[in-house]
Amino acid sequence: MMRTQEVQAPSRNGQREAPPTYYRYPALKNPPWRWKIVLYFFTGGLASGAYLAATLADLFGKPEDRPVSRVGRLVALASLAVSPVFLISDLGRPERFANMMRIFKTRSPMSLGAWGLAAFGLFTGAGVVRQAVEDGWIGSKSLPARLLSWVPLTVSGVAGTLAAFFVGSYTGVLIGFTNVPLWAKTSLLQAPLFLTSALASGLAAISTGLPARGEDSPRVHTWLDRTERMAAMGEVALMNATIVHAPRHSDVLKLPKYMVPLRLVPLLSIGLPFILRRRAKRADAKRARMFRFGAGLSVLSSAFIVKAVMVLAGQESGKRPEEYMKSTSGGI
Amino acid sequence: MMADGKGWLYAPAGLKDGPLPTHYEPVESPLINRIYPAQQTNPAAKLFHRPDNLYHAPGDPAYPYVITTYRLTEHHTGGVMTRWLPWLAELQPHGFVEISPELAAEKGIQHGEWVTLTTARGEVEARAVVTDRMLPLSFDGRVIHQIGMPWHFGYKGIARGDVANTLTSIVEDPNSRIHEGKVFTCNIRAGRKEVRA
Amino acid sequence: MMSRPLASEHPTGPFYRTLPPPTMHEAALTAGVRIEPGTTYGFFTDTTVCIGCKSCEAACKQWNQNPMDDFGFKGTSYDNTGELSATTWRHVAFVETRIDTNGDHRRDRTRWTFMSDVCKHCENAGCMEACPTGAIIRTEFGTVLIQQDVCNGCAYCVPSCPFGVITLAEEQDRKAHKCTLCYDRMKVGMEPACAKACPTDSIQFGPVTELRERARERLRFLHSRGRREAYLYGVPDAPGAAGGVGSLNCFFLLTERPEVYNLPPLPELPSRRAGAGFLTATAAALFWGAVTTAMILAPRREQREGGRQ
Repeated sequence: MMRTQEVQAPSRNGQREAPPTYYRYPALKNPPWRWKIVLYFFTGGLASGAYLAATLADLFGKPEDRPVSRVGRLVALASLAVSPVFLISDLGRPERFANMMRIFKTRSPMSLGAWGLAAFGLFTGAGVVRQAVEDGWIGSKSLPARLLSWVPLTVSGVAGTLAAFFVGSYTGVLIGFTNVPLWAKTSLLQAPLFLTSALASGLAAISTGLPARGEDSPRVHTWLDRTERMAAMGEVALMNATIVHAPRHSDVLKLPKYMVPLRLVPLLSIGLPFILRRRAKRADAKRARMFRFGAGLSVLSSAFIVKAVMVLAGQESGKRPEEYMKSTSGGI
Repeated sequence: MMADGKGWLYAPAGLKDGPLPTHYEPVESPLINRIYPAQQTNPAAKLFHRPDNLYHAPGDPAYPYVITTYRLTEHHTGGVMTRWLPWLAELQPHGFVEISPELAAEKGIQHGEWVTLTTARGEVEARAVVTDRMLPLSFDGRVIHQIGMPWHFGYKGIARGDVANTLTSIVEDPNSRIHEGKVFTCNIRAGRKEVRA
Repeated sequence: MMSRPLASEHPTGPFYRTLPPPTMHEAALTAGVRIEPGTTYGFFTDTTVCIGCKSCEAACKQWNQNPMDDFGFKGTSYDNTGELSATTWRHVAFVETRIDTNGDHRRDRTRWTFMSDVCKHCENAGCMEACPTGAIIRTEFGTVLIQQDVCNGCAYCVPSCPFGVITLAEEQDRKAHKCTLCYDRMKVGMEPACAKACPTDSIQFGPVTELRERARERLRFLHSRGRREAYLYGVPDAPGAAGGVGSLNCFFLLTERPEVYNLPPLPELPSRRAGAGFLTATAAALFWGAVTTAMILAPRREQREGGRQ
C-alpha cells in the first residue's frame, strides 16, 4: 500500500536522482499480448524461414535440393495456416480482423504487417500449388496451375522472398515501435533478432521434417545444417547484444524468470544440435533420424524462448514507471 | 429576524444560549478551558445521562486523542444516497480515518491497514490513511494528536464503512439541538475490531 | 424570439420533418466558444485553481455512461481511481508534496496539488499512427477519436501512446476506448462535459490557439506573484511537447515535476524509430539472403552418412 509520502518533493540542487513516480502507477499501458502473440510471432517466423530456404533452394539449388524445397513449402504452409489463427484469436474482436485491410498505413508496422502477411500467404499458397503440380496432385492443365504458369518462378520466388523477409522481421519492428522501454530502447536489434531467429527455426523445421520423409541426402543436410548453425549463432549474438544493451534502460531481463531461459538459448540453439548431429553422423539410419529430429526441436525451442522472453519481459518493463520516466527524461 | 424587520440581540423567546458567542470546550476534551477555568463546557448544552451514552471526563487518559468528523466531496451527509451510486462510490469506496505519521508511529499503525477507534459509546474500524496533512497539536509542550474521520459511511451500499456516529455521544446544542459530532475524544489501535458474540 | 425555419428550409433537406434544436451553440453561452468544424479545439487545465472535487471525472462517466472500474480503497491520497483507462477518461491525481517548515509545528507541512488528467489529443498522435484498421482518426475539430464500429481490439494503440491513456476494455467490449473530447456534444454545439462541470473553470475549453494565449497570460500572472515553479506542459517548446509528439491539444499548467503527475517529461512518438528499424531489418534480410544463397551455391563435398546400416 503506497504511503502518501512516497511521492517525492522536486529534486534539489539539480542532483540526478531517480525520478519520482505517481505512487508507482505505470505511466504506460501494456498491450494484453501473451501466449497467443508469442505463438503468432513464432509460427509466422517459422513459416518465413522455411519459405526462404525452400525458395532459395528452388532458385539456386541443385536437383538434390528438391526435398528441401518440398518440405520447406509444406512446413511454411502448415505454419502459416496456424499463425493467423493465433493472431486473430488474440484480437479483442476477432470477427473484425478484416478491418485491418481497410487501410494501408506506412507509418504503422501493424498495418504493413497485415498486408505483408496476406501477400506472404499468397506466395506460400502459390509455392504449394507449384509443389502440388510437380507432385501430380493437381493437373498441370487445371486453373491454379495455368494461372501460376503465367508467373515465372523467378518473379514469384523473388517477390515471395521479399514478403517472407518482411514477415520474418516486421514483428521486431512492431514491438520496437512502441514506448515500452525494453523494446523501444533496443529497437534496432529487434528486427534482425526476430529475422535471424525465424531463419534458424525455419531451417531447423525443414531438417526435422526431412528425415521424417525418408529423403536422406547427405549433401543437402550439410548446407542446411551450416546455414542453420550460422543463423543460430547470429540469434545468440543478437540476443546477447540485447541483454547487454538493455540494462541502460530496463533491468527486466535480469529477472530469473527471463534470465534462466535466456541462458539456455546458446545451449539449445548451438550446443545441443551440434552434439546431436555429430552423433547422427555415426549412428544408424533410424537413430540418425531421431538425433536430427532432436536437434531440430532443440533449435525450435530456443527460437521460441527468444520470442517468448522478448514479448513477456517487455510487458514487465512496461509496468515499471521508473524505467519509463527515466527513458523519457532525455539525454541518458 | 423579528417581526419589526430587525435582528435583535436579546430576544424573549427562541434563544436558549446567547446572544454572543464565547469559548467553551467541547463536552469531551483533553484540555481545560483557559478562558473560564471554572466553567469547562457550555452550561446550556443538553446532556443525556444514560448507561448507553457515557461521557468521557475532560482529559480522560483512556481517550487521549481528539477526533473530528468531516465531509468528503464525493458523498453526501449520511451517504445513504451516494454510497449506492457507482460513479461516486468508486471515487471514495471505503470508510477511512486520517492520522499523522507521528501518531501512526506511536501506535504502530501502517498506512492502509485497519484501525479500530473506541469511545465509551462503541467502537468502529476503518482503513488508516497516514498523511502529513494531519498535524499533531502542541499545547504547553504537550503533544495532542488529532484523528480525522469522514462520516458518510454505513454498512450498506457499494461504498461501505463503519458508521462514525457509533462513536459520538448525544450532546445537544441548546439552540439547534444538533449533536456534538464535530469534536470529541477517542482512542485508536491498530487492527480490526473484535467481533462480539 | 427565434423564428423557426420552415421544414422546406431545413438545412438537411426539404423533406426532413424534424426541426433543429433551438440552441445550437450552447458552448457560446457556457464557454464563450462557438464550435465550428475546421478549428482545432482542446483543453487548458490550470491545476492552480483545481480544487480536487472530481466533478470532471463524474461528469465524464455520466455523459459517456462509462462503468465503475477498479473499485477499491487505494490509499493513494484521495485518489481511488489511480489512472486513465478504457473506462476512466478523466482522472484526478492527488499529489502531496512535503514542505520544509524549518521545524515550525504550526505551519502546514504538505502542499496538496490536484491535476485532472485526460487524453492529450496530441498533434502527432502515437495511437493514431499505430492503428492498423484506421479506427483512430482526426476529427473535424482536431481531436483524436477511436471509431468504435471499426476497432477490432488489436491493442497496438495501447503501448504506442506515450502517456498511457488508452487501454482495452477487457471486461466489457474488448475494444480500445479513450476520451472523445465529447465529439458527440461538440457536434451539437455543446462544450465537453468535464469542462462544463468544472466549478472553478480549471478546465477551459476552446480553440487551442486561444487557450494558449490564456495560458501564457495566466503564467505571466503567476510568475509576477512569485509562483515561479508554475510552467506549461504540452505547448510548443515546453515539456510534454517534444520528441515528435508535437504539441498537445489538451495541455496543462503544472507546478510540480511532470513525473509526479505520471506525465513523461519528454514523451517520444514511437514512429520516429520507424526508419531506423526498417533499415536494420533490410540489412539483416540482405545479409541472410546472401549467406543462405552462398551456402546453397558453395561446392559440396561428398560426405558419407549413415555408415552403420
